[in-house]
Amino acid sequence: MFKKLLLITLLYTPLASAHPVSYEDSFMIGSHNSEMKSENLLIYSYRYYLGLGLSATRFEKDWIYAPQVSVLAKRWNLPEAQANIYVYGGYGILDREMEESTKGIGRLGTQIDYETRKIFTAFKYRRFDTFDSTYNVDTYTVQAGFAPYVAAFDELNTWLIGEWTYTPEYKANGEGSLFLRFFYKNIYWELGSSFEGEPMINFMVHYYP
Amino acid sequence: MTTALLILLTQFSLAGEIHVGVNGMVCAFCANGIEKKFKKESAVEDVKVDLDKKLVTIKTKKDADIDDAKLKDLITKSGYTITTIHREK
Repeated sequence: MFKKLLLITLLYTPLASAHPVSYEDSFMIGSHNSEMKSENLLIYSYRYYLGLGLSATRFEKDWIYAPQVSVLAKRWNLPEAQANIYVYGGYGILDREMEESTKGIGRLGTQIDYETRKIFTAFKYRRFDTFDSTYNVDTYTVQAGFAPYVAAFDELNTWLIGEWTYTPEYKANGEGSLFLRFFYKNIYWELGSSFEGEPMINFMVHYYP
Repeated sequence: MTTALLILLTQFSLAGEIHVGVNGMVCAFCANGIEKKFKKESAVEDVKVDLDKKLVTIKTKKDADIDDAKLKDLITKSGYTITTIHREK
């Protein structure tokens, strides 16, 4: 039972709907936190289409440390919208409290999003694999949200976001959550809860030296 | 003649405004990078991003300018697409 719980939380790592790559020569620091897990990212966007970074993910008392390469595979810049396809991945270390030795773990993901000034939609797919058949899981996340008001560039932006994550191997019915997303200039934070009442707190900061 | 020449030279020494039309600017958190990038340019005095009008307005310093190629480069490196350029003196 514990292993299943660990794996569920291992896989449920939605760092909100953040873009895995930001603007050129910027740093992104982000953290997603809930009761059973946290995901922390530090990404340097070498180009607007290429990011390099590090991640540290906690699930209960187990940690995954991994470098990450993120690529903006395709972007559509439209007059009233933007759409993106990202791919990202890395290979790192799974450090489980219950085991004495660490284990290698790879992860590969993609994110497709479409947004306007008023609506946001995203689909994410991730695969985690230790290549020894112990952890070999697919997870799917769908997000949709809207802005109750359209804010100007230098005003506080507010969004209401709904999210559904489906990891068939561990939770047949999936898991939903709702959160409020706020951002002001280069700072972004989210407050919410899963449908089961688990609180979620996320933030992200862009730093441009 | 001398007076006319002096007046003409005065016009060229004034700071100017460049209005750049940009596609894809739907998120202030993401478009923040445009402002940051332009503010690093020595010719730039101020930058204003208007998401409603899809415009980036650059105010240049006195006797300074940014040519079209550079404008396109800065917008592209920010991850967006330039559509129009309009200059005002």
